[in-house]
Amino acid sequence: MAAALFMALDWAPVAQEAAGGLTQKIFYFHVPSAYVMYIGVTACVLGSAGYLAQRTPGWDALAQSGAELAVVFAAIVLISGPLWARKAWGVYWAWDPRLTTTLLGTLIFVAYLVLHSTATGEAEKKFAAALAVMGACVMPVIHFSVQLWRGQHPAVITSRGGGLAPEMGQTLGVSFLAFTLMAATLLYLRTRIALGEARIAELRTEAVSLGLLDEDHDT
Amino acid sequence: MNTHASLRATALCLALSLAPLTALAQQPGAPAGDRSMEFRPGLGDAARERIPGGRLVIMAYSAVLLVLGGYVAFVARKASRLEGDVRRLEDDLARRAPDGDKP
Repeated sequence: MAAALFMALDWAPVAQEAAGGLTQKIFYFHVPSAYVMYIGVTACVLGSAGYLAQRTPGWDALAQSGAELAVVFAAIVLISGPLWARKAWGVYWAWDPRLTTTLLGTLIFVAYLVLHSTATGEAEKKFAAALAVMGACVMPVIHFSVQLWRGQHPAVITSRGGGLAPEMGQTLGVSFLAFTLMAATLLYLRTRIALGEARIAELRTEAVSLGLLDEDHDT
Repeated sequence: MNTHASLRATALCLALSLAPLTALAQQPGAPAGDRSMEFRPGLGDAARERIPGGRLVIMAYSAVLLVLGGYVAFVARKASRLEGDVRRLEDDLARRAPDGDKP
């Protein structure tokens, strides 16, 4: 991550003024964050589909971790993008198809997290999982919105390569690698923790039913 | 929830999830063309924009590091709470277990 930061801020050349000049450097963390958001959504949808099929805590933990990852990195996208847009477009926010669908997708997964955190039984968890699976429908819309509709947001990866200088491409590659490793680590750790929490709750219930702990035990 | 209500709820959710596609109807057949492959500046008056680019870059990277740091701290806190929960549960069970079962 430090290497990506150094390359983005110091090593990569400054882009042309039309792309925002110095502010184009936001691109090196903005685009990989959007990519990690997709990873998070994929993990959440896989976990939710698995939970709906098998009802095991492992799938539920994966879904919860994926949703958290998606929301955290979507927040980064939605903070860094407008700062770049202020310079490149002259406004912080435009109701452009890409921006609007990204905001909508983020809100769906925030809703999933709220629903999941207040779930007290299997029915609520199933409802949250169904919301996540249906929320994933918005992801292809986000991804292809630039190609489908006229808007301000540029297409990042195109068949023509995106017009990046070699140093810019290498910096973006290192950033993608750093963000992918970080996403995998966070997803793994968060899933293990969620799974551990579920196991503790299960053991506590079992201990209470066996009379080994008091029912009002709150630890 | 009975079967009919479940079917109605599912149909409603599916319809809502497909709602963004209705935007296609706003521009029937409009080709995205080359425009979608290029960067188009100028919603506001970007050319006369006087905010220094460096300040925006610093703000963006600070926000990125702050959000990431916050999430890593949240995960670390969860991990340490989980460790504490395991220890407390072990202690409670050891206290309640008959003398012969104590480690």
